[in-house]
Amino acid sequence: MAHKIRLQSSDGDTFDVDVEIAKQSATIKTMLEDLGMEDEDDVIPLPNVNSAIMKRVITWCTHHKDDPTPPEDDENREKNTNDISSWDQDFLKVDQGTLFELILAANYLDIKGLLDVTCKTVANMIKGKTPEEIRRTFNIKNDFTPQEEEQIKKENEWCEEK
Amino acid sequence: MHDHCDTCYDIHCSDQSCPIVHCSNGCYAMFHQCKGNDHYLLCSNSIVNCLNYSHGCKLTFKRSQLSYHLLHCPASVICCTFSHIRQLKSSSNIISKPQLVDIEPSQQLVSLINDGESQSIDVATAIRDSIWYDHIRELNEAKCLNPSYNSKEKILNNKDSVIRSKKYLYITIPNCVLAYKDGVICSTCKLHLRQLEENEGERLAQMSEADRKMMENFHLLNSALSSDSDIPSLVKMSSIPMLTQNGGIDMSKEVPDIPPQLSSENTFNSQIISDFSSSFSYPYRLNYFSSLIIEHKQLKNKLFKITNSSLFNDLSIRHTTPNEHQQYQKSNNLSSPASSSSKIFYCNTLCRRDEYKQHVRNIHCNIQCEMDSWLIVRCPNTQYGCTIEYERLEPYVNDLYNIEIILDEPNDAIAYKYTQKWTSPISSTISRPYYDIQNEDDTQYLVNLPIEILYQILTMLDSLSLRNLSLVSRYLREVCHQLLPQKGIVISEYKRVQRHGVYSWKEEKKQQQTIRSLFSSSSSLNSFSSTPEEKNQALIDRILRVDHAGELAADRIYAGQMAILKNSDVGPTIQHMWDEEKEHLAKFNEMIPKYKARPSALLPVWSVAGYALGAGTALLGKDAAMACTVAVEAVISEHYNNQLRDLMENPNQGIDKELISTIKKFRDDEAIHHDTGIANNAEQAPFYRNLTSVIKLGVKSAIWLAERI
Repeated sequence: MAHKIRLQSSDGDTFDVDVEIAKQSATIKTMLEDLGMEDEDDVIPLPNVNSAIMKRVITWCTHHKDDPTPPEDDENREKNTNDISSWDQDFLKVDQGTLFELILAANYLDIKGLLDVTCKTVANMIKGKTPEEIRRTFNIKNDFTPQEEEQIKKENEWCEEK
Repeated sequence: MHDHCDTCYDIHCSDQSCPIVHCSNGCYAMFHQCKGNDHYLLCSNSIVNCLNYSHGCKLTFKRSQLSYHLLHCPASVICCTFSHIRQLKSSSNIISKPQLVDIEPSQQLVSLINDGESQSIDVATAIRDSIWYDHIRELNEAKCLNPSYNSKEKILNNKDSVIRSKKYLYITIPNCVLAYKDGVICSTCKLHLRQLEENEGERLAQMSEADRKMMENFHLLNSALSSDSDIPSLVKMSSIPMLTQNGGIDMSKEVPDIPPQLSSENTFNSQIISDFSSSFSYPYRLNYFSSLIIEHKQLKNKLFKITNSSLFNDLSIRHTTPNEHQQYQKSNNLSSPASSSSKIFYCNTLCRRDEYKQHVRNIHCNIQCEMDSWLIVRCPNTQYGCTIEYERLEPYVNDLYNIEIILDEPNDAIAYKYTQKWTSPISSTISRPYYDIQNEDDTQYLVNLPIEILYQILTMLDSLSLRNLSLVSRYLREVCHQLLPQKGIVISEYKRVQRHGVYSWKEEKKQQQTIRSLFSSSSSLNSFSSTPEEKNQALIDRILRVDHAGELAADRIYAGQMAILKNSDVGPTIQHMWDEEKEHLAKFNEMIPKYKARPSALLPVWSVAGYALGAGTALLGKDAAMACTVAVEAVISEHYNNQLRDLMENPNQGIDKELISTIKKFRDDEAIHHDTGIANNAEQAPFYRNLTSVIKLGVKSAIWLAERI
């Protein structure tokens, strides 16, 4: 089925995408189902995604078009963050801004696989770092008062290795 | 009905056309045949449905039994008389008269009108009560100011009233008609009315100018009084005459000594046929508040008035723009509502008798009584403006929904609000740090993520990373905190100690636990599997400690005995037993570090005590020494047996197998020692029984102590 669909990003650029690939996004899939299969002339506007991110998302979806659907997983299960494929790892070797934009786009377009893999990447960025390193990585301001810091340290001393 | 029968009540009437018959229900009444239908409407033996048929009571019985049944009917509608009191607070901005100034209603009131916003339940109920109270006050004032209210009463009393006939507007009708306020007129009065209408034209022509003027005014006044815009929905509930002859609306009273009055006027209650009648206000409230939602504009105007006048004065709740403070106060002291500044509000909920118990338990006991300090805990300085609050009880959280307790305004009831789990639980309670919102710093990607996504990232982290993350900033700490119910926390267990004569709490140890809130489901129990292992470790620790101490003590006991008795004929026996105990001790000495168990802190005590016991009993004679052995070994064997039983409860733990076999062997050894003791004339020791009981008691206490210390 070479049926193509046109997606329009927030800056006005249109992208022609195969329907099957676009349907990895649950948002687009629902939209198509609700509105019926439209003519080739109509575009689907996606005002929350800009062109650069749009391109990347389409790249990712094209690469993953043959993926089996991921199973419904229980929210409580602790997720394994080691199972990112090497292609995805390369794909996500981008600056923080793009990475987080990809997260937001995956959330908006409801692409579970992309959201999972991007979140795992961020989780890996957090793992193994001390609080100060996390602050530096993500540019977060430390807004604890000294007294609070004191108290928190005391609460946490049980897990400091002696 | 025949003309003759209409007036004839003679049971022996010999009229042939319409014979006298007996009631077929067996009530011994006799009447003309044509009056049969009428009679069956009243016959005390005819089978009727319960009055509460429309509420679900399907019983049928004789009419004479009806009254008895209604006392117990489970479908009877009861009016709940639970009351709560609100204090009036005076504030500095007292405006004496309501001013019709059009001001912006405060946030809370706007949300009251705009369906969908929920507020915390205690504030919501306070708002509702204050609006309610204020409305009544207004009406009361209007009544006082407006003499025509009174004159309407007078008119009712004088049996002269105005009723609108279809054709003519100025017809007065006797009182009997007005008793049926829903417009049903008895046949006599219908006749009356028709006659009056026929004569109306003539009468109008004959009236003087002054009289006609008076009538017109009267009519206008009356129609104004009963128009919908003034008193929303009062007249809709045609069967609940709010302006009753009791003189008022009974929703809130000044310190009543008695519960709301029952009024016979109100028995013709076309909405709710029940055995219960009172001048209650519930349907009024229901209509009032539901019409708040429906009739937007009208009531917006009305609320403007209310906002300005009373809410800033009375009823202890002041609504504010963000600049002002929010105050409220609720009195708990139901036993002394005597002050005139407190108003009593009655629950007045209608419910069936069988539902009443549940209603009381849920609404009044669980929610309202606890609302003050249990459900939502506020800083004591709330009345001065502090807005810190938190919810103490968390409603049940299952896998799909979170449930919040709110006040459902259209229905004026306390209800659950279900929200989808994914989107709701976090965003409402976490406030983004102020500087973040201000700066909109684009490079702070992590904190600027929507909370749901951040939450998802956090579920992928292990506990140590979460702990590190929680140390980064306040906001992240709060978000991690949200994750706690799933992950569990480490809590400290405290122990009471006495130090220098002063009791205090000392932290004993830390333990990891899953959080079980009152309503939690089983899903939170799955997230930690280490607790049984922890328990196991604790058990092994204890077992090894006490056994090690025991063997040490036994070793010392034999040493003591040997010191005295080494040259007697039982010497070799004791030496043999002592060697075995040495073996046991050695084994435990190696197992303690292996299982990382803590040895008893009282080891020196056991050592000395054991030696003393051995030497002491040996001094009493060799039989006494044997008796001591018997006593000790008896307790020890039983003790080992108990331990084996505890260990065998978890047969799937591999490490215990060694421990179990060790203890088994030792138990058998101790049993042999016991028998040896008996064989060596232990029972001939002086005071054998007393001695053994004392020693047994001592050993048991020592075991208890060693397990803990």
